[in-house]
Amino acid sequence: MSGANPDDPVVPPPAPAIDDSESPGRLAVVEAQVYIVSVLLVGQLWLATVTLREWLSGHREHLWSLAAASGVAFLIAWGVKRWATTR
Amino acid sequence: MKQGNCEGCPNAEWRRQFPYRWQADDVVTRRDMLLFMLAGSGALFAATAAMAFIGSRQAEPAAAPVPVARLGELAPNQWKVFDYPDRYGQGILINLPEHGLVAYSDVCTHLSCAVVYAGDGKHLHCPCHEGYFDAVTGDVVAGPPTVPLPRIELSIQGDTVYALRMVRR
Repeated sequence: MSGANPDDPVVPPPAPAIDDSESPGRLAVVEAQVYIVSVLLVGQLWLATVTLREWLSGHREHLWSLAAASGVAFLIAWGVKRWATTR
Repeated sequence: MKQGNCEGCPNAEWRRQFPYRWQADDVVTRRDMLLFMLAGSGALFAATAAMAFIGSRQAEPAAAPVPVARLGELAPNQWKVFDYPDRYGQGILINLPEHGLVAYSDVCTHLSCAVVYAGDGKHLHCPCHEGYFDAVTGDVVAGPPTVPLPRIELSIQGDTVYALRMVRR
């Protein structure tokens, strides 16, 4: 049977689903990584907002603490990404 | 991208009739998403660190003493506003019974309305959203503000009252 438009080039169908039978649970690990990093990202967004507010309101004593907290969150996110990919 | 043979798929007929250009599609996998989010995390950290760096390098401008009133100009419970630290900002000077002269920034820490002295010896009032501050300390007493009013340090030299500097809290 011909296609919807005979002038269309022949396009191969999409690849079949990835067979993860050799590494069961791998998808769950990647999804867990995404969820954990999502939570950290929201926290960092909040930290950036608070830092901007403190800076513009002239309260400078906590700026570096907030930046350090954001750095710790980034390191945790990086660790989560790296931990699961190196196992 | 490696394409598999889908002749045996249940929707093979449908795929033949409505072919889709999968090669041209921008497929984002979970792993790609994770990398994007990690890059976003790094960007947010960099932005926060940049704000901390710039903010810590900015020094509070050393304002010269500004004469704001004559000594004895205000009777007890009287108050006045004055320009401080420049003509774009204002402070409020109050002669409190039993406490003498006190001065604060008159910019409400909630949404920047001008606060006024309530006249009771106890409170400054922000009429915009019913915020109340302690007239003696500048601390929040009621309403939506969460941050105390900045205090303006005063100095009396001769018969003139000077504003020396603003202390944010």
